[in-house]
Amino acid sequence: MSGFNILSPLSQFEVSSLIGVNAPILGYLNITLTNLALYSCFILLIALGLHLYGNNDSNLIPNKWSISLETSFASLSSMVREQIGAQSEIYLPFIYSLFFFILFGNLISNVPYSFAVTASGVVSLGLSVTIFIGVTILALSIHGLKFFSFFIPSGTPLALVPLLVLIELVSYLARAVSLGVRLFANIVAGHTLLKILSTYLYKLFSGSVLIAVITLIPFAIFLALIGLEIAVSLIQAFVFTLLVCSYLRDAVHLH
Amino acid sequence: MHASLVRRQLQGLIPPKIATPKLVSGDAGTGLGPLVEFYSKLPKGRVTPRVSGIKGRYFSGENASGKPIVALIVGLFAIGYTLDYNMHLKHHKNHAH
Repeated sequence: MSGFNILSPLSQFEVSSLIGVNAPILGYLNITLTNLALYSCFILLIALGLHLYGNNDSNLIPNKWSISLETSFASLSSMVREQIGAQSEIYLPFIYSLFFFILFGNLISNVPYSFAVTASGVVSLGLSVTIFIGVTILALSIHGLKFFSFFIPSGTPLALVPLLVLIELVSYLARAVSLGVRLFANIVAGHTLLKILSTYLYKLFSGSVLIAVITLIPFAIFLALIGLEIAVSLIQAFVFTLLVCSYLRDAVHLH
Repeated sequence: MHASLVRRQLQGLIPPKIATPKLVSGDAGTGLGPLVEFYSKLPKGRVTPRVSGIKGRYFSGENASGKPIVALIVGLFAIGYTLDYNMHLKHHKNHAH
C-alpha cells in the first residue's frame, strides 16, 4: 500500500515556519512567523476581544458575556485573596492574565487542525521557569537574607540542617520544572491520544457500511474523550494559576 | 416674630400648588391637556435594543449570544486546515507518496 502513510501523532506539536525573512542585517537576521507565534497572537486577540466586547459599558443590568467575565474575575480575585492574602491584590492582574492566556491556549488547541501552544515545552517550561525566577527575586527583595530560612523548617535539630537544606533546596528548584511539565504533559498526552484514536476511527469509518455503523460505539467514547480534553483545558489553567498563587504566598510570607 | 418672616421660613416645608382638585377636575380636565399630549407622543410597545456593530449585535444586552464562539471555532478550523493543507503540499514537493 503505497498511499498508506500515517504521520506521527506527535507531528502536530512541531513548530514550523509559516513565513520568514532572512536578511544579512546584524550578522544574519532571521525573522520568522511560526505556527506557535501565530497561535500566540490568536490567544492575545481572543483575550483582548473577549474583554473589549464582553465589557458591559457600566450598564446596570449585566448581559451573559459580562456575567461570565465578572464571575471569572470574582473567582480569580477570591483565589488570590485566599492564597496570597487580602493585602496582596497587587498580584491579581498577573494571575488574571496568566489564567486567561493558558485557558485560551488550551481551549483553542481543541479545535481540529489548530496548534497547541501550551503543548510546547518552550512555552509551558518557559512560563514556569520565568515565574520561578521572578518569585525568587520577589522573595529576596522582600525578605533579604532571611529568605534562606525558608530552606530550614522550624524546629530542625542542628545536626540535620545540612541534609534538610539540601532536600528543601532540591524541592524548591523542582517547582520550576514541575509547574511547566504538568501543563505540558497533560496537553501533549490528551492531544496525542485524540490524534491516535481519530486516525483509527477514520480508517474504520472509511471501511464497509456495517463496520462504519458499528464504529459509532467507539466514536461515542471518542466524543466523551473530547469533553474530557475540554475539562482538562480548564482544570490545567486553574491548577497552574493556583500553584503560582501558592508560590507567590511562599515568597511573600515565607512558610 | 414677623408674620412674613414665619411664612418665608415655612416655605420650604409647604409643597407648591401644582395639582389642586380644582385645577385637575375643573372644566373637563383642561389642566391635564399638556400632560396627555406629552404622554401620547411617546413611543409605544417594547423597547427595541440598539443594534450597531458587532458588539451591539452579538454582545450587548439581550442580544448576547454564543454565535461569536461558533464563528471563532469555524474561523480557527478554516485557518488551521488551510495551514495544514499548505504544509502537506510543501511536504510532497520533495517527497512523493
